[in-house]
Amino acid sequence: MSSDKPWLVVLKRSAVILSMVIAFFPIFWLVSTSLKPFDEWANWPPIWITDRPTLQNYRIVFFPEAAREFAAAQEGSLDYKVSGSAWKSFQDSAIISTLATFFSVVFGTLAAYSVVRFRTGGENYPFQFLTVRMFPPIAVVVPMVAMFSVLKLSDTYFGLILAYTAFTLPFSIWMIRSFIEDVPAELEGAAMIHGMGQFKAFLTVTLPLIRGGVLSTALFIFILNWSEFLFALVLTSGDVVTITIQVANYVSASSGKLYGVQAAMGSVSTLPVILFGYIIQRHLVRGLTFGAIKR
Amino acid sequence: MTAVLQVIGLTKRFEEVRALDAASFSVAEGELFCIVGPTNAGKSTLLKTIAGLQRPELGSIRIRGRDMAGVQPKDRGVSLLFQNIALFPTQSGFENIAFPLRTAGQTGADLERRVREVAALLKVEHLLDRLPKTFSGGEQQRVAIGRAIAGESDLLMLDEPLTNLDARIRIALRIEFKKLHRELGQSMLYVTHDQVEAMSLSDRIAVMHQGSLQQIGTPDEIYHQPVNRFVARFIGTPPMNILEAELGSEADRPFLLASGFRLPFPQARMFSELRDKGQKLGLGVRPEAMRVAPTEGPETPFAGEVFWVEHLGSKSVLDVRLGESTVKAVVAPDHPVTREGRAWFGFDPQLRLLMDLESETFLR
Repeated sequence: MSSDKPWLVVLKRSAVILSMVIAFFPIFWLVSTSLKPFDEWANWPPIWITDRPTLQNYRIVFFPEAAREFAAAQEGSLDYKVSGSAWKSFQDSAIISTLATFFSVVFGTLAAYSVVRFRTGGENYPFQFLTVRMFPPIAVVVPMVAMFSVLKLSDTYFGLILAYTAFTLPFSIWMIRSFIEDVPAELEGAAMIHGMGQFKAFLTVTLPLIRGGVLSTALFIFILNWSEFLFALVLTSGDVVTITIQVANYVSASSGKLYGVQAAMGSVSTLPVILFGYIIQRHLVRGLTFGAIKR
Repeated sequence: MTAVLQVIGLTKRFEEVRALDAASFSVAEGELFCIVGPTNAGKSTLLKTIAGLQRPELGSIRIRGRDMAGVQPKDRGVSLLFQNIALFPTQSGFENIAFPLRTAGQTGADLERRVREVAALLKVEHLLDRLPKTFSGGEQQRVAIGRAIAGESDLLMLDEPLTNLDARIRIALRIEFKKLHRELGQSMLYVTHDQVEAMSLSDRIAVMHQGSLQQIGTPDEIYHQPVNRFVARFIGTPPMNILEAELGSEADRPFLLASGFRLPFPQARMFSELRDKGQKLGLGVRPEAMRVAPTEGPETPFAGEVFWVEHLGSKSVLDVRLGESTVKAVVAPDHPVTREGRAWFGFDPQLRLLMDLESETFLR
């Protein structure tokens, strides 16, 4: 870097600044809009930062009375779902996303282990997995609606958890497979010769080494689940409401989309992802370091 | 002596490649048995199969007389040092050595004492609190050996334990293994591609090639009475010369004839048998057994051309054109013939080194 010409340094820094602006602008706009009063949501020219910041949008999200008050003040009426609290949607999303991520990673790890160590399904099996992932969800969603209603899985936690687990499992297997492949079979072999069964050898020797990879896979899958919309839309009908559905519900008959309220809900719903990412960041940065294997 | 390990007709294939081809041998109590062969001969596969990490297609393995079919690796009573060491990277030197002891249920002072004892034997006390990634290559190797010998095992298997180490450590560790074997009385199955290592360490050697065991015997037998061309050329540096030869006779005196020399054939009965069969013959001559002189003499009757000389310090290796064949001869560094040019050669034909060229096996 130090040997670079000054104009090159300027160019490089500008590129970094520009890409950061592009990356962070949506977040800025989200937070900024969430603090704007009703009449500034869709102004032209845009108001970048409001002079009259308000927490009203957040109140509408979390307190039903505030939502009703707001609806009464407007000529149109809010949808009945919206006049309720958004707490339930956070709760539903948390239950569904967390459990679906958990199952996906647990089954994914076991399946990946089997694929790597026992060549389960033959050489091409992992690629076949990946094709499931490439399948556009919209193509299977209609038959799934039919199946789910026959199996009485529509509008249940279990149903959505099942759908999410099934759809993220290929990704989970594919990712974790590559981490397990980096761990030489001899490490488990050594544990097995020195007194452990195969599964215990996996748990004590291999799992600690791939922990970072498993956790980063979990983060990716959690984000996928947390922001999933299509399945949540068609496989529920009011009992189960995820945050993505709740955000889409903020519509009023008179004033169209309630951008400020949606922005407030959007701002709050990014927090768990940021928190989760922050907690496991330590493991994401640290790669797989082997001091014990000669290559 | 009872056999610790019996391997009977072990066969294993990977795809189309035969990694093990009906391998059979046994290791006696307290014996140091070496398996030597080139890379990809199937040596590591053999050890992993004995350890139970891979399943054989055919054949059986018995350890102390007990059939190992379906027995888990941990219950086989064997220990294995992997070629790639495979120390547990998240565990300290101490924990690595303690691993087999912990799984066997040892704890507290007993465990501590045993780990220290092993560490002292291998001179790795200073590594006990550190992680394997901070060890040097030789240190990793020694800690891995520590883990392999810490627990009790009927058979200690070592897969190329000295490969990838520099020469100084290699020789030091070779002596340590010999001592370990002597002091512990441990039965060992030792795999290497280095024939010098095999010759210097073992009680018995098996030479392995393309998944099958070519010959099993003492280092002496393997060196002096190889069974076939592969063994003859693999053991010994430079490798054994094998000269094409024909049988002939003159006035009822049989002789061996090749381009460049004619030698009296020492045994009449064998001669007539061989001549009736009409086999193409080869004669094995160790480069060390070649006589070399600057002048013709009764001991050195054949003329040849030295066309390349390799000075190795303790000896010199001559590449010689003898008739139409090329042979190698080893001489002392102060020998009169150590330069390119004409010289005279001689050797005694040994019946046990007479080869059937078609099957490439030595006649017995």
